[in-house]
Amino acid sequence: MRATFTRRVRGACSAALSFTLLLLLLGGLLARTAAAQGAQGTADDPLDRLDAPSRASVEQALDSARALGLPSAPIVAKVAEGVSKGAGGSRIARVVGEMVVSMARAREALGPASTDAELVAGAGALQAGASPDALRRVRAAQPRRSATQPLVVLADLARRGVPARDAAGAVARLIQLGASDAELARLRTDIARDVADGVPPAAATSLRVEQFSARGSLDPSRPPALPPEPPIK
Amino acid sequence: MREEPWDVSDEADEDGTPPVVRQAAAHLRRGGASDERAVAAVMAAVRGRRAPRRSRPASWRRLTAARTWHLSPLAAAGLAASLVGVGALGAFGLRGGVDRAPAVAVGPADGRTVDTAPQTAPTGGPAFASQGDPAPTHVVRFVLAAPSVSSGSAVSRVTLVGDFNGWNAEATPMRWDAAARAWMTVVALPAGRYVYAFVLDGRRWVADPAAPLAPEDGFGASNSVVVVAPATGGAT
Amino acid sequence: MSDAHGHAALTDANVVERVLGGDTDAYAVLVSRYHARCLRYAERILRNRADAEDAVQETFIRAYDALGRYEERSRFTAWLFRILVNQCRAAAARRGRRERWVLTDEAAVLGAPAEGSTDGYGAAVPLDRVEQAVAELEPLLREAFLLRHVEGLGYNEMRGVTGAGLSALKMRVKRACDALRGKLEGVYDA
Repeated sequence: MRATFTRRVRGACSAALSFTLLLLLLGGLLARTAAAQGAQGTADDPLDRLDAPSRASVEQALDSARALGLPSAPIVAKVAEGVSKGAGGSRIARVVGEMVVSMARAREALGPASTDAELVAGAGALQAGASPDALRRVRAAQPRRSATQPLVVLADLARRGVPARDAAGAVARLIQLGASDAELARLRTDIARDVADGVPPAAATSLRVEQFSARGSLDPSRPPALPPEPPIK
Repeated sequence: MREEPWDVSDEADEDGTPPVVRQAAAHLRRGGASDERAVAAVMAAVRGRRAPRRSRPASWRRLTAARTWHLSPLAAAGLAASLVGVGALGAFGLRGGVDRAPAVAVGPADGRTVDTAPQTAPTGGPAFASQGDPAPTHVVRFVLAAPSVSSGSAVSRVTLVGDFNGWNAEATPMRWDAAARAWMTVVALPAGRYVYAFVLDGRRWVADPAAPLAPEDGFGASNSVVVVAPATGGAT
Repeated sequence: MSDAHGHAALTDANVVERVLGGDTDAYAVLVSRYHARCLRYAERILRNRADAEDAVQETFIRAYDALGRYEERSRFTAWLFRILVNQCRAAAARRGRRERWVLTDEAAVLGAPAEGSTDGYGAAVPLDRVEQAVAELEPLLREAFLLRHVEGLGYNEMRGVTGAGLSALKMRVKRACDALRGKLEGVYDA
């Protein structure tokens, strides 16, 4: 009987210990979740949707971006995009890592005073195949205007099959001819339509550039067109 | 059952592999130099991690072997009570995880710009909006014309996803404009560059056929770009 | 990876010891040695380049974390492939859940780029006949065949890698070989 009582007590004790440890664990987890949500504010943090190793990699990328003075919002947005598209955590982490590298290269090419939008657009152009020299050329062509739209056009042309060097040359030439952002956008649309109609991408681009060159700028307030720069070696 | 040490190889081909299969296997073993970029990516990932250490030596195993503890009822109750007390103190005192400075609150559900001021980003909206404080917002209309998405089947629902709404496929529904035969919505955005796409019937992701293509997203899909200009607010 | 530290002559076990001793850069030797081979296996299992790259990257990261548990009595190849096989199985399971997302056929959309989609979800990859024949094997048979006849693992190693029993593995390899023989008769006739 004493042995039975001892066994029952042991069983009760181990059950009590297990239950207590479970409460402790749950309490800690709830507190950490509440604290984390408090730190984040009211918005969902896409990083919360990642598995631990991927989250660690993304956190590292964010730390690298901050250390380099690069914007972190695009990185968080890319994580949100990847999560929404059902991509695996390691793929998201890899894409984010490449993004940080591209933004760093874009800043080297575009200069330290570049806006975040220019950096992201520049990173996109690099990822589309443009060279850092192409970015420098775009910047040099209009140093006092935002390079965002030209870089967006450059990336789009490269994605549509225009060789990156030709696309960069075309965009720089158009800027030198005095094309505004709106004109760049219209030309991009025209080139996209030409390509969809079957015109080879490089030919479509050079034709539209030549048309614009022949027509010239209609805005008398714009500076006169500069002669084209020698091709990039 | 005792675990067998793994063989270095049992190369006598006792499974009688047909010659054509052996040749095929040799063909499949060809080639493949290591990709330096991929190696570099792995190394970049591991360098930030805790260095691995050899597993604990055998002398530690005694300390980790399971034991049976015998407690009197009074001692057990006291121990349980003290554990609960420690747990409660710890739970209320925790600050929680890595206190990462939020770079941006990624898009509230209603798709409007965010007014909270993140610690490291410019005020007035997503950090990749043009810098300016506070950034005026511009109304940007997104349109997806019906013929562009024809594939034989009618689309019953289109939503807009992008940087500005946390890529939430339910956050920004578009409305069907019968006169224009297009799906439309408007979003107020500060000046800047935004990546976006349309989601059809919650399943198909399409780029905007009328907009510049964004760089490859890294996930196998295509997105579009809109640039909201600071001076005029025009979107291109 | 360059041989700046003279690592190329080291065995896998030697390199592991160096890494465990604090020489993180030495891990690059193992990665360089095995990355292509792992990617080759993962691509044939997952039939998707991007998923395979992810699985391989994850494999090497997990292998790094677990390096302290590697014991020299087993081949590093088999130890690494145990992690890789699990990563590939997990990726395949995730893809099964993800395939409810139907990504658009861009050719149907005005202004789509001529080159079409990247090697993302379900992009077709041209194959030679041998690759095609392997791709058509049932997943478990394909896994067993690749481990045995392409990656050169012994059956006991395969037990450790896959968790399957010896007789089941031998049966899978045999069925895979029978199926491949049927598909490939005459391929190598001169």
